[in-house]
Amino acid sequence: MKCFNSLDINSYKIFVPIKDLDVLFSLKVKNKVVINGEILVFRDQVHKKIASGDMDGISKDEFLNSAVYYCAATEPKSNFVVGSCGPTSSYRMDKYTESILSLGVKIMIGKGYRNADVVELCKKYSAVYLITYGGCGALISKWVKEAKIIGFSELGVEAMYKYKVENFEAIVAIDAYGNTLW
Amino acid sequence: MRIIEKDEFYFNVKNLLIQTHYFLPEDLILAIKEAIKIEEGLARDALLKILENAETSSLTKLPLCQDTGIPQFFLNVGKGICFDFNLKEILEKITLEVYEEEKLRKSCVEDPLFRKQNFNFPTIFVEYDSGKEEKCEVSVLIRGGGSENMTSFSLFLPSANFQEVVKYIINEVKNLLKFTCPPVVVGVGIGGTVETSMYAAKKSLLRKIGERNKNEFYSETEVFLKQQLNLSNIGPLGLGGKTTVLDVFIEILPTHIATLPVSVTLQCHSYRRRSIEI
Repeated sequence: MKCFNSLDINSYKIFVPIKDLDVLFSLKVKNKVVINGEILVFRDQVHKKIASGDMDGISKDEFLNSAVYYCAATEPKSNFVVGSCGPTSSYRMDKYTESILSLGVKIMIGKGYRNADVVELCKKYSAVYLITYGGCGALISKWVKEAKIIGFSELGVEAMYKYKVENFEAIVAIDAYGNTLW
Repeated sequence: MRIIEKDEFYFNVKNLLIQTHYFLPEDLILAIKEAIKIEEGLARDALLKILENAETSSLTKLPLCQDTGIPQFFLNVGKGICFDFNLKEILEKITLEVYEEEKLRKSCVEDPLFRKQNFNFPTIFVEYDSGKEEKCEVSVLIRGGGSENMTSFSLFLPSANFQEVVKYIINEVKNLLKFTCPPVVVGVGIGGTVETSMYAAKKSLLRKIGERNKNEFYSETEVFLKQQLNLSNIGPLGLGGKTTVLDVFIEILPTHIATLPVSVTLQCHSYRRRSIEI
């Protein structure tokens, strides 16, 4: 099935980790973003560890100007490098958000609502929150070209991964000016 | 009397559980296609992605959603049916095997507080009210954390009126919708006891989209709630639009003179539901 975008959707192509931070200020709520490059992938348990100061030996450089995707995929199958890998609900990461933004993370990708603290943090750190297609894990798997564990391997499905992605689609839900989808 | 043999049950139910992870129900696909006709922009794009995901999953056998959830089995056993095996044991075995063989995510932890030992297990509900003689109906609903968490329960005073209950349902659903993946289906259980109220809300999700409560009043209430919720402009994946709720199912149960339990649970668009008759 051919999936087409209507012409009325503004879209931006972004390379991560971000080299030119100005692009973050061009992004507005409801803009479509197409991401290429390497993204960090982790969720609840890794956030908890990072917030408590446990980095599992991962260099802070990994986080600088990076994008973080809240996800725990299923195991890979056949020709795919990851299994189904849709976003998880982001609100559970709200209380840990400052600990990752203070490391230099500029883009958070997940699904659903974030609280007012996260909106303020996006302004403070000039960061953005994007949502991608919740419940579409099989489709999103096609956008992931390489996947490797880079830390916290003892957490099993919740370990920290790095994905190389091509044309990973998302939508701005909180911009760096503090405007939100809600 | 009919004896259902272990092999027959095992083979059919195992196949049912596998299919449920890769194929959305036809009625859901149709409802999404209808919604595409009335949406534009980001909302339309999101609905197209849902269809594209369904097609990808059926072709590649990557699960529809990475949250492979908890399989909830609902068995309805007709008159004269006997099992020559332990139902709990066989359903647990099927679950473990399917998740292992199909490389589905180990989405459960054995201890809820200490969060160790990822594995998979089913929940099992058995009823005996099937009108069909010598048949056993097996349904499965795969519930991810995002849907399961989006649940609300309240004990109203028995003097509460219809408007109060409706207001509660609308407010709760709008609030819960922010955290899940719309378009959703809403299951509502009114009356019963604490546990049967929630059970009714869950079990209502086994209905097909468009299947109304047989009682005219509740049937109209379902349609009214759906319309009201679709005015919220939350839209597919929260991106705005006319399609927030695909349907609302209400189940009612007799209740105690002193009680009025109301349960509400959301089902995300990854509506993994399937049934067979054995």
